[in-house]
Amino acid sequence: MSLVSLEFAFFVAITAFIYFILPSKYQWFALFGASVYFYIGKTAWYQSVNFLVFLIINYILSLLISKYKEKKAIYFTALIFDILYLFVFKYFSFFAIPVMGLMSDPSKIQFANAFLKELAPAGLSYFALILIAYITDVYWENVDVQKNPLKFATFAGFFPLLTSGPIVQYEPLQNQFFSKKNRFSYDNLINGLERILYGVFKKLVIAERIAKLVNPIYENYEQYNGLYIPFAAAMFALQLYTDFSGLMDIVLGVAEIFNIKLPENFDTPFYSLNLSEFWRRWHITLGGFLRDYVMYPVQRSKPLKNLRKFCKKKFGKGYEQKFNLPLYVSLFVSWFLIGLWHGGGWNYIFGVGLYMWFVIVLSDITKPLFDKLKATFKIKTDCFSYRLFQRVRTFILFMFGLSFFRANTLEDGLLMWKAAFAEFNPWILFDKSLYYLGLEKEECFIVFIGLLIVFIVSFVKQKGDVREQIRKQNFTFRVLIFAVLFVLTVAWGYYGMGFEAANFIYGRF
Amino acid sequence: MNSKVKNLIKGIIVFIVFALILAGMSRLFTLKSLDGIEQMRSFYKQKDNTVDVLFLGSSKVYCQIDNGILWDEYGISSFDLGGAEAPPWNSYYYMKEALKTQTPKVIIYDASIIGYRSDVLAQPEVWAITNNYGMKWNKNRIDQLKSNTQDEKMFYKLLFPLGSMHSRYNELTKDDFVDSKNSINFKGFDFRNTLYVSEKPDMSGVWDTAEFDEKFAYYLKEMINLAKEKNVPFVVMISPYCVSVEEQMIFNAVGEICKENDTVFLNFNNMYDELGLDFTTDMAETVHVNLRGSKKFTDYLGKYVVANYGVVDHRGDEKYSSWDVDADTNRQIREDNQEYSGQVFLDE
Repeated sequence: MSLVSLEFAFFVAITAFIYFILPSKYQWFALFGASVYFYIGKTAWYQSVNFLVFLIINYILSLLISKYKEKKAIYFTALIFDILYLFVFKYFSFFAIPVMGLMSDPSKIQFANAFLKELAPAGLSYFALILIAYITDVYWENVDVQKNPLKFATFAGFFPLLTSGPIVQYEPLQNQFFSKKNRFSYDNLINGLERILYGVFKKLVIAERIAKLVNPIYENYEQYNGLYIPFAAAMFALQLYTDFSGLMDIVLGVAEIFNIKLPENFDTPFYSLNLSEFWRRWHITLGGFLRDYVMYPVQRSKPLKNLRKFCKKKFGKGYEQKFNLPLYVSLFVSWFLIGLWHGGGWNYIFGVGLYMWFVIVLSDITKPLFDKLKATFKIKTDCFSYRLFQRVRTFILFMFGLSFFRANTLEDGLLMWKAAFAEFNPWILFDKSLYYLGLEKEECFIVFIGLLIVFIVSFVKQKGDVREQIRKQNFTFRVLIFAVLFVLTVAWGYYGMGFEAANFIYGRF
Repeated sequence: MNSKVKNLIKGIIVFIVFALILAGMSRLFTLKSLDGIEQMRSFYKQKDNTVDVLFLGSSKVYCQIDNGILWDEYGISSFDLGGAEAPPWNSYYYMKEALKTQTPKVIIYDASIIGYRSDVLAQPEVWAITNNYGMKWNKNRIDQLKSNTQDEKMFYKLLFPLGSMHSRYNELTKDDFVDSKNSINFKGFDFRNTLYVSEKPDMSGVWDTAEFDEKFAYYLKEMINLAKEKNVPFVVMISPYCVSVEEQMIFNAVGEICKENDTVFLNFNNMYDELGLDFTTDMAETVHVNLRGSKKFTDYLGKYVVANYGVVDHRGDEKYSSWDVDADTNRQIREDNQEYSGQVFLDE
């Protein structure tokens, strides 16, 4: 069931009702039951079985890790199993297709590819990382293993997470899931509903509309030159933000109703001053996972330790200020994986992986040079205009990389940008050409209003938690704000007859 | 005040506010359609037990039967309660709604739809909407929608008007706010005044019957039984139009059902001459008569009803003053539409 459907709303309402009438000790069981129902309803039976097998194996291995002293071997077995599982069901085609090209009879591989795709459980990219994090934390003794298999399944298969994360860790959640005291909270109910409403607004009012501007260009890029390309890239960045952050608002809002606080996945990323900061504010939990479970272990690994020793010896102490090779290597690994995680395709690996790595590393390397230039030309950096420049620059850098994420292939992405320079046509911004893409003037106005609301919310957020600030206002004002948002969502939302709200973009991972 | 009580009160206020918003938006955005929605809404506004002659059916009722003429000529208080292409199951639920507040002297059901939409067992969305959204929120409304949708998915899709109507935000007009036709003074008539020239069908030799889906027969019988249960005379008619032989055969089968159930059956496609219908001047298109044809058809119905069902002349009775207003309106319509609004040519 879709997270923006009435069916899901009823499902959450019924689950919440059952949850809060149960004694605290057994409330988690309502979440378990709801998650089972949600997952089975969403997937084919064989995908559910596949997911169940994956859970059982991780459960057993996590018990063994905690039980035995020789846990290293067991841990690495579990880790390799999880990674292989991810690779087999998600990346088989990425590795198989080039091989198929070399074979005279690729039919067996084609069959295997189709079979594995069909069998792949929904939410694979998310729960695989959640469980890798869990077994690693058990191995590192950051958490006690969860011995109750149903409780384990409740955490690993918590239904709001199954669509698109966030990628959670067990430690901050275990007390929330299995807390002895968990009474209904009116404040959390209202907060959750407010957040869900905002998420639905972003998805159905803004993201779905922007898609009508973006899709025609990406699907027929051969017909578009010049400014159409950066326009599509910029709009896609906004579409993805409103789609994904909207989804996260719904997920976090739903969890909040159950008094469960999930980690944030977005923190007004378009306010970032550079790409490094951007990725600390965008898909925060993915970045956090790769930092804690990839980058830091890589940095602590023997090869990197040796590399640091080598650099120190070769370039002297303080080499990090000029060229921090060990950091760049560990970043490379992380960014490669970020790209790969998004999809088995070079467009993902490049666009949201290696390109981002390159820009971040280049920024780091050229920082002393630019600092010198700023000083020479007396460019003020602690002012609104410079920060605005930084934000616009960051957005442009991000949207360029992201444009490959949207393109079908890396080659298509490159051809699109080649076409961007084939013609200089700024008039398309003025002569109503953009209205012919698929969104009429009035609809474009709605997009504008929607983005303005998002901007205002983001602006207010710079001063602190938005809902906290709203809560300080009079009750009437608070009701009015959300009543207006509700009216706009109901009137302008892409739902119902004649609309089929597209699946969430990040839901396909 | 205890914080739990405070929160409960706040919660109730918030719930009421949002429920009112939804109800208001639903009302505002729903089409003010003269293909069923406004007919049903206006019907609810009629004073109890004032509708003496209730016409049920499809657009062949509300596009063809001029309540103003029935009032002006005979003082008959009638109402055209139809929906676009309304199949018998829709009319059945309309009938159930109507009999909650009215005890007509006669109900005349136009069963033409059984012939010319015999393959439609669930209406397309646009007509399902106009047939349903005028009804009050009750079991009849839900049952009617269930009977008229192909599957559960469609049912839930159409159940709440905002799901299908919210996209009208950029086509709202003054009438969406004012809803002028939703009034006690509106009796359902929505005229057609184009001209379609055709040959008069000759059904004189067509007496065979043809089968049609059991669903149509079931609801027709349900209507007949409901009328009997409420002790209300019930007449099944087929209004005149450019009927085909196949359709006429279906109507013959309908006539047999009526005969089996002791119900009066009038097929006006065997009575063009009695009506004085001229197919070169009186048809709007193949299915509906225009204003000229409507005058003739309504006149005949008026005489028929007076002769057979003892309807009272209510002219001058203050309780029925809304029929005066409706008749004035319809008179003005006929005055303003002496000329045809256009000519219809259909592909051969």
